[in-house]
Amino acid sequence: MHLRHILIIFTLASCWSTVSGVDLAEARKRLGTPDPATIPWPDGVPPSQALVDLGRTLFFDRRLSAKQNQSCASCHNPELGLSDGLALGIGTNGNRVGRNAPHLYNLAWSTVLYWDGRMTNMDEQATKPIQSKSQMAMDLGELEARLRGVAAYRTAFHSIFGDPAAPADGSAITRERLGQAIAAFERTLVSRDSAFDRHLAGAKDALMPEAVRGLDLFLGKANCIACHSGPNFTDDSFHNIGVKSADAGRAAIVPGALAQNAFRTPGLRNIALTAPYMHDGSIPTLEAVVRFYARGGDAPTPDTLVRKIDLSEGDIRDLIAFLSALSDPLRIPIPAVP
Amino acid sequence: MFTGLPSFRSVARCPAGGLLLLALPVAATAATVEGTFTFTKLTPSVALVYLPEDTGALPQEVAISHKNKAFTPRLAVGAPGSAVLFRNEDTAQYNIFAEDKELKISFDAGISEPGSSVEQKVTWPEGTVLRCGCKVHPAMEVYIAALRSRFVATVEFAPGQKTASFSIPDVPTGATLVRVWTPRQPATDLKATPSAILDFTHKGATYGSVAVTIKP
Repeated sequence: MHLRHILIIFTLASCWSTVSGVDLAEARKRLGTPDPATIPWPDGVPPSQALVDLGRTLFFDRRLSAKQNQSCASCHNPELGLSDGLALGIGTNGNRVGRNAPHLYNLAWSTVLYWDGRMTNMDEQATKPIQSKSQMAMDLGELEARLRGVAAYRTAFHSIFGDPAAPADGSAITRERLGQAIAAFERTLVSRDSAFDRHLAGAKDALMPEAVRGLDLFLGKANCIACHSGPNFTDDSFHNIGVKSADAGRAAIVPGALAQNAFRTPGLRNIALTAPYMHDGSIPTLEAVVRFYARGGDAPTPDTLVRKIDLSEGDIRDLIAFLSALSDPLRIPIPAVP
Repeated sequence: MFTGLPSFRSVARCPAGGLLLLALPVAATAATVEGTFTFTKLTPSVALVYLPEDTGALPQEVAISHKNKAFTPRLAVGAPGSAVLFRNEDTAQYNIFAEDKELKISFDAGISEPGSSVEQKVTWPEGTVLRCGCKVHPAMEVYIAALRSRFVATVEFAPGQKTASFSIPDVPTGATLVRVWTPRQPATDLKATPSAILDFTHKGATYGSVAVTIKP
């Protein structure tokens, strides 16, 4: 074969697999479908169905807020992408919460919690918004008493945690177990059957051509994969992406130059359902998010990952198409609260 | 205390499930410490096995690289006074730090740019282990053990890995005391005459064990 022909074939092959010098096949390996077998359960043991069911009921129970006017599901609403559709949430007293309510999809794998990562233990975290003055503003001692007054909770906690020989008198209801139950339910909120997952599994017609091009941009020129990596599209790390904000973010927990104004990378599963975006809910749509990154953010940042990206209008459309292909809305049965 | 031993250091390392033996000079009269960790759940990220009675290791340079939001190795060993060199081999930035009130260690390397290095001396007490991390990549962790022992095995578990074997060659004949450390529980001494088993327990339940044998 003539050398020139060989070079042309080689060049074509290179174009096929790389964008901006990125090996797309290699980059794809940094994504995936989450495997429930890898969930890091507390003490290494999956919860019982009874505990999950109890947690689900508590999650939807408005008794958990001081004024009994909102439940966990008020800010993590299954119909609103397990968020609330608001830039900043609303507390039991009608006040604004300081940050955007994050979605809860695939939180079971998360190694850090909250926008600033101030907690790592879901069982312990689950009761914090209940106590938070700006959120549910409920004293846990009062809540224990409130729940002990409900026969169905006395029975449920006793059957899961209590001594079978003892009466179901409500003594099995404790704040720690409340947290365990809610977190057990939250760990079941696993999204893993999106169009993208079917594409990964080999379904040739799973993704629209726009989404396929969007995936290549995600891995290549736009370099979203630098932070939104892994089966849940998050590196569980903190980045200052250049949102104009006075919020110190991670630096309030761990002071440091890179931590200043840095926030936890949100997972992107069901991201099309969870608008508005960013820690302060300041960006209303996915289109606006992509344009924000394309212009290199709105505020100076020391993070060198954030820089202008030359995206055409078609590129922007394709990225949105790909991000929307990560949707797998969960059907979450709303329990009858006792 | 062992005396009259050559001043080498035998480190058997088990990265991500494979067994890799490094630097194995042969002593005149020597035995081998062998063992296997087995976990049913709660597998630790790393484990350390060493002969605590030896004090022959000298300060040296300990290289730790960070790339793809992970340290390599994830468990390092250096005698007190050693210089630990953190090398950023990534295209991303990091902020290496340690904060350990018990060991009274607090350092913040600031922004580590791609290609740069920062040095930290091993100033924490002999026999203790410092955890270092990154301020913006909280899943990253590396444990650095301050040890004067020359007879050490480090084990690194991959996600999902349940068992790992280790070997410390060329240990002095007659040695029986073996110390085992994992991040979840304090260092524990075993008398291997010639074998011993240590169970790992959590909330009263056993989740794993290590079997150690000293072979002549």
